[in-house]
Amino acid sequence: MIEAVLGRVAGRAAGILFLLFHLHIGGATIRDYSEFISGNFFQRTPILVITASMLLVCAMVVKSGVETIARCAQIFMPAVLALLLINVVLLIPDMDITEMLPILGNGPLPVVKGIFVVQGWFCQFVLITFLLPYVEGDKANRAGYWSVAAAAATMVLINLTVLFLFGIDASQFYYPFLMASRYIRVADFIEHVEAMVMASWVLGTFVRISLFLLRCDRGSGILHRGQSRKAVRLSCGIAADRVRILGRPQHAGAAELYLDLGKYVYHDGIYCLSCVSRLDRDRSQRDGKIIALLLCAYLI
Amino acid sequence: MADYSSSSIPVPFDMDRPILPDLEANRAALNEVLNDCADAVLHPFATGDGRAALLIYICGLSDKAQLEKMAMEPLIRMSSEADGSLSAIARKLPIADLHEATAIRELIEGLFVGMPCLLVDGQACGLIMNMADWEKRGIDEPMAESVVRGPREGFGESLDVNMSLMRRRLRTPDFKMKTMTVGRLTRTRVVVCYIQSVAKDSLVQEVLSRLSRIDTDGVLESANIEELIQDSTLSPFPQLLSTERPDVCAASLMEGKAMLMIEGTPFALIAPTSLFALLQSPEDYYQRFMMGTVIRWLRYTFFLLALLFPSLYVAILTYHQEMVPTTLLLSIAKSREDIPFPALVEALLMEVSFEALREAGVRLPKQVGSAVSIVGALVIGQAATAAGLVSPPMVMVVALTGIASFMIPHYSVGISVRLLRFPVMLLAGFLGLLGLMLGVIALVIHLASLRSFGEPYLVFFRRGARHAWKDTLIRAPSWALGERPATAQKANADRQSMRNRPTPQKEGG
Repeated sequence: MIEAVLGRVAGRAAGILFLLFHLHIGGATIRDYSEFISGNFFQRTPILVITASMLLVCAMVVKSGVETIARCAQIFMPAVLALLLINVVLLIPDMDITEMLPILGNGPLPVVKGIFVVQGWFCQFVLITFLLPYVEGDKANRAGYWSVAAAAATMVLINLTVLFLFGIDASQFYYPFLMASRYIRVADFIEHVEAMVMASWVLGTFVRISLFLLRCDRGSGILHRGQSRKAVRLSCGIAADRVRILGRPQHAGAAELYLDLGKYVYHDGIYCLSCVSRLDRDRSQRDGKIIALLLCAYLI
Repeated sequence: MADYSSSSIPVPFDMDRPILPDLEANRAALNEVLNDCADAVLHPFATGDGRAALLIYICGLSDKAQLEKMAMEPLIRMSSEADGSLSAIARKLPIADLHEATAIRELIEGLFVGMPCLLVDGQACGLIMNMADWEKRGIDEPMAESVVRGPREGFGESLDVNMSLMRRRLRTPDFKMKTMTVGRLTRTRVVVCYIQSVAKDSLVQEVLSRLSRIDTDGVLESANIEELIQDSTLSPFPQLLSTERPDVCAASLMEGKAMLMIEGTPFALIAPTSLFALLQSPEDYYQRFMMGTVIRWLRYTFFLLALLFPSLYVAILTYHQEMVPTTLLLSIAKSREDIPFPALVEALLMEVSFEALREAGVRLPKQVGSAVSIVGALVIGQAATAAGLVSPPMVMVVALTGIASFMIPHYSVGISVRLLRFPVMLLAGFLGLLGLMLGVIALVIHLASLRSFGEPYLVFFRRGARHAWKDTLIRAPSWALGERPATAQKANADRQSMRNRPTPQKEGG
């Protein structure tokens, strides 16, 4: 598509940039997830275990294709929604609606500033564009609007819950909704339901990361002119895992990222070369070799 | 590759040899084929017009008295003036089902399904008479799928009886049964049933083509066939529904599914199926719809419980103690005080012994079975706690899980759930609730990618089947189940009139 618009070279470059962007966002999502889980629930578990286990199931679903992701999302979405709603409902007794006041007390500017932060999540809807070819007819448009609206509604609901509960202190917490769930105590039986929040994180993140991985996987597949993608899938996962490291204070960023992206490009380069040279006729054998190469590279 | 479906009986004999006019030659040929078959009888006799004849049958597969009365007697009394050709004889015999055969193969194949054969000297063909009748078990109540309210007839081992059971439920020529023969040695008859106007043509073709691909020595049970025609060979889940209830089969056929009946087993196979179909009991439809819905949800809940309850217990006790209410936590802690093992080991120990107990109970003769359950209950419950090996809460968890797994109406799914419990338990032991979640995700991925004869396995809502929820999430009242599921042909999607809901008649209207 992009190639048709921008011409061969520029189109390809743009495509790669777009892919790298997705890789970056995917990595950031995984990093968020891993830090959330390891910071709040599994302090003594190596973060690699948490990341790798999630990437493993994501790779599994990417292997089965877009339909499987859709079905999984169909199953998990009601579960996530139910968990969130249960949390919100159980918090109702502790809410104080006056915390919302004053509305627009400092004029509209802070609100507008706030919008930009939220844009970070909404920009992930750009992934939908890549699902369009899989959708029959013009239903995609409506479904897209619905999902944006639903995401907005959920965010409003959760943000209001947190605001009603903590008031101005809400900004003190990294994970305010998790903190809120710790307040829940019903009938001396249901308490400390933060595991429910974790469950919704795991399920939601799973769907998101799989979509990113699928995007990168299919994208690089197209760049490689539709070659077998087992190796690409793995390299995507590994690269995403490396990108995750970006932004941790002690790694101080960019150098590491470019090193890793370099690796990703390098892996793909190897892969392209092997595809082009067709040294190994047997595809699975070739894949096996590349996976071995990748694993070696990853261990370095 | 040899084509076994056409040359299936592995005897060193040219089966396609034609039947000759010379009776002695035919007799010699048959003697060669049926050499050392103690149950094959070659009975020579003379017809009324003085020609030599030969009656061939297998002892115990045909009704001998009928054979003597209906075939031999008229022939022996035949007058010499009558037309002596075999087709003329056939017209005079008081037998409802007979046809002529020209090759030895037809004759032999008929013989082993209980069709005696008559050869007359001077005729280059044989007369095959269907008099199949053998000792069989009567129609019994299905053992594995009992209902409180509903038909009590179950399939038996005899294919003909089973076919009649189905036909008695679907009295329409629209209901088709196609016969195939599978198995090089067993030559098992397999019947593919479907309703022509409801089932998709592609499904029937797919079933037939998968069946015709089978090339194996023997088929003794529907499970043998199931394993050879399923979509995903490496899945713990059954992708065909097996049932011994004709009513379940008839209901599935009316949903556009295809059904396989196999000679010699009371279990029929239904394809395609979905996880939800496997979690349904026929009685959901035989009791009031509210009860049906509630029971269905109870079943779904306990299905999850059977899969996850021990893992949940292990995960919470090992990693997330804060989730347990304090008083409960204290009492659990107190009871676990003397237990030497971590929760995971404790759970594995108990679950494995429970599975062993269940297996022993199933395998043993009935008289001993009850003894096993008494001893088992003592071992698992009383003694294990008294010996300080496991804690009482664990016993409760195992017992509840056991009950939950027995609630699954189809044994085959119950087994897969029991099996999958263990990996999930290990994951929960390693990563707590996160491990459990990942296990569930992996399971859902597998289920979501699974297909049964092209139809998705995990289906309760999808394009083109917007009404599927009426029969999965709830059991909608009968008058509301107006649409057939997506397995049926689109052209014939209406199951019933939309005016079926009973409403009081308007006066004068």
